[in-house]
Amino acid sequence: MFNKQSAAAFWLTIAVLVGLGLWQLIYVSPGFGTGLIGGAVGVSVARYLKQKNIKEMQAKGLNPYDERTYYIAGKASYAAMVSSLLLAAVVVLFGSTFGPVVTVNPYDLLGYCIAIVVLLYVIFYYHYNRTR
Amino acid sequence: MQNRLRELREQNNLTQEDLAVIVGVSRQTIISLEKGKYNPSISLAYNLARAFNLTIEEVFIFDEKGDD
Repeated sequence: MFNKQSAAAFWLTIAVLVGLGLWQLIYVSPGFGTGLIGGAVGVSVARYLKQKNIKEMQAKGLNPYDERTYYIAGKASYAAMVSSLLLAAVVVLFGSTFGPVVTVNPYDLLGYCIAIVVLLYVIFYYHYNRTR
Repeated sequence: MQNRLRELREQNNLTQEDLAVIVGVSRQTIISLEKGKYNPSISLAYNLARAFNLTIEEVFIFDEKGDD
């Protein structure tokens, strides 16, 4: 799953995030810049720990990406997609009926949507990994 | 689907990790299979049966009321 190409793409993404973060930190919004750099560092550390665990498993002859991993990832993806769509539908229904008219930054809104979908995926993956 | 994996593994003095290495999966997958939480693919079922020199039918018992 993590070959050389995906590793290169990952570190390129991190470099872009850090670059954007530094630019924001110095010229535009120090808070947002700090958040971007902090996020990039956090993801890098998480990936390092995950890769370390995977290498240890592979050294023992175990396969960390076996069919059950893909099965759980598939179930978690489907559950995250369905639940986020339902959540969005409920928000749209009740928000457009009862809620006030609000102006939002579309980039912030898209960011929140991505964060919710990723969070739901992680929660469902954890759930299915324990129960399947 | 029920299976005799735990029984066969213990008869052959194998740990869960040993069996996982033999069939090329993670130890977590062997744990889930033994608990009956996860149903394997045909190829994994075949590899597991072959690890014990048995047929698939001798290792796995099909349960018509089983879930997905």
